[in-house]
Amino acid sequence: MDILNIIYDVFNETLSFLIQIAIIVIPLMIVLQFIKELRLYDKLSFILYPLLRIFKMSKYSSLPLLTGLFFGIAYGGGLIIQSAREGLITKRDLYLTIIFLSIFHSIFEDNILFIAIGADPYIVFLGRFILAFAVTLFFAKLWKTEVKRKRRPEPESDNYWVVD
Amino acid sequence: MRNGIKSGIQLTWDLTKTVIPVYFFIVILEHINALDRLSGIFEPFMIYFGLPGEAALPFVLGNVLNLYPALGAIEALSLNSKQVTIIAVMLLFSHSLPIELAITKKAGAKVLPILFIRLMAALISGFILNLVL
Repeated sequence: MDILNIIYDVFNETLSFLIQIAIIVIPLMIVLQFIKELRLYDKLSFILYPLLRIFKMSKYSSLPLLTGLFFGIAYGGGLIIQSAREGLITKRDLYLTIIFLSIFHSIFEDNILFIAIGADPYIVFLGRFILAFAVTLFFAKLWKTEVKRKRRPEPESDNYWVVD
Repeated sequence: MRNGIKSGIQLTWDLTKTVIPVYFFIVILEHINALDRLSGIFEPFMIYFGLPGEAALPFVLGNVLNLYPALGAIEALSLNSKQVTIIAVMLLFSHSLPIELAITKKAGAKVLPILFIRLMAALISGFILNLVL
């Protein structure tokens, strides 16, 4: 009996997850297809341009980031899976996107829930953003982009620059 | 348009496949009352965040399940506004861990570093907020 209960609960949870995901992901993928076909990537990425530039990430990270910020990590993660499948996103971009989104995602729903029960909106919202920014920046600096990695640190030699 | 629908369905199916084993894990935990026991373990540590021991329950519910049961559990306690802010920030950093980590793993990141970052963010921010607020 207990086993049946468990299977029933899992089935219920999975079904509601599936419906919830499908409602957002399918329209989102249609929009994404348009964005790709009309080559709007560059136009869209300007929204997050300052962030992407500081983290030295490619424009292809902007859609997973935007999706995760607005809809939540399941959807942002979904777009990362999709971008990785299409080979658009590097390992570094993938990790930085996931790190940033893990800390700061679903900015409307999650924050409003807690503000509604009396949490300080500034601390909840700004605090979370600042920490996400700081942690991602830390890893972005730690994980140098490919060009920089080739530069070998050689003490006492000042003409050791890689031209890129 | 058709390509979009196709990859949308594919992606929905991928994500759903990813979460089925996680839901098994969560439902079994609920059936054996593991969450109550887990929050019992956390109770003595809540004092570091300026929270009463009972606040361990919403913390565990939010982390293992999702934010909604945690919200209910917070409202059942009578916390002051500082305490609500602290537990809100802690839960916002780290919540729905089994489901969200399964998805980030599917997306290609390792589970342990992300888990570590999120829990550390929650614990350190709770600790600091308790000191400064």
